[in-house]
Amino acid sequence: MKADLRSGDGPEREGLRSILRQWDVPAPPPEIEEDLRRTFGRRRAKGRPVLWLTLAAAAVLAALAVWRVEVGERAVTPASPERPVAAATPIRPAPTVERARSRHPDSVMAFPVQRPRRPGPAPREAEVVVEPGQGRLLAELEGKLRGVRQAAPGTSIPWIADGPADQPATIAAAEAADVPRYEGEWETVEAEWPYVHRSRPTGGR
Amino acid sequence: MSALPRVGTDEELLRATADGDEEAFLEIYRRYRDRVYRFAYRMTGSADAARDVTHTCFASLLESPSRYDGRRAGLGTYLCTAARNQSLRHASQGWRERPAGTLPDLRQGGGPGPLERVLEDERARIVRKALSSLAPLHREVLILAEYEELDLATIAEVVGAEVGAVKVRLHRARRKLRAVLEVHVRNGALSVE
Repeated sequence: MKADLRSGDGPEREGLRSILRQWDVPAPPPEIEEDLRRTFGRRRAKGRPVLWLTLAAAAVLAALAVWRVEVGERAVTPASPERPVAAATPIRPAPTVERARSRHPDSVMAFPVQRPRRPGPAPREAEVVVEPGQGRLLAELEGKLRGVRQAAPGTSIPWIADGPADQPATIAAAEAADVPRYEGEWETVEAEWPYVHRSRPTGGR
Repeated sequence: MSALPRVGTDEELLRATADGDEEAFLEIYRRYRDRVYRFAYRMTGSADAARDVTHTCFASLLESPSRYDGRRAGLGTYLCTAARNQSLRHASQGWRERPAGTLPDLRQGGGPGPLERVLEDERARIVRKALSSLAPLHREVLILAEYEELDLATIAEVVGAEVGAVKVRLHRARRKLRAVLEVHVRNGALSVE
């Protein structure tokens, strides 16, 4: 019997198998395939609401984000209808090259040559709205800054020791690293605001 | 009506199914429907139950394809296991063959005459009844070995038992079946070829 189980070729097993073959089973009915098609379709349709819900949630989130940005912008602008006390328009600095050339027509300066601008409509400049009280603060700040030395571009201001007002201030020796590689005289153009520091052309060049 | 058979491994077809390819899924069904349906039919003895089991097996594969691990067993073995579990569930719920219209009408048109058809149906009924008299654990290994012609290792995978246990069950199932069928062979209702 053991050989019969292992190999499956024993005569007893063959006899049993021939008997078992007398019960034939039909092929699966086609309705199963149709049912499975419907199941597949339902499953696909079940996935669609999830997609639509995701898209709807994304749209709501986007709308919320836009709404928050708009609310934030409204909070920045003055809520009260009070008119601003001052409205300053920043002065555009004049072209320094043109001005320098007009002052020193014979000097050969390394300023880049600017092309003459084509006549056209000037771009509108943004209006600076000053809140009530800010105008006074800005005026005070401007007054304080008038007496403060400003460093030339690329340099640092040497440290100035505090002392009595009637004695001249002691200026520490500037380090070598602080000294600009080019030595020249600098001038402050007070006619412009904010002030412009530029090198004064020397005759040795 | 049916599309051309798709080429590709079972894993490729499963991946395509997960991506929403209906034809890939139906190709998997066409590959294994006969084995699953026949096994379920012989386990339950009922065409309705076999149909239900077959649909459930493939629908569960569709719903949760991640349950199938191709490294552990082939898809056919996996589906046989699912069919076995579903069939045992049906058996525990007391499914019985409906009295009328259960035997398949396989030979419409040209074929054996009415008397021969009656005799064939009677032989099939005897075999089916003898099989259903076996315990489910014996019946399943006998069906898998004799009808599906699976080797012992695969049967052990399907029924979740050791190969030694499968051998023992198979031996007892054959002995019991032989004893049941011997009476019918002796009185001429069944013939041994």
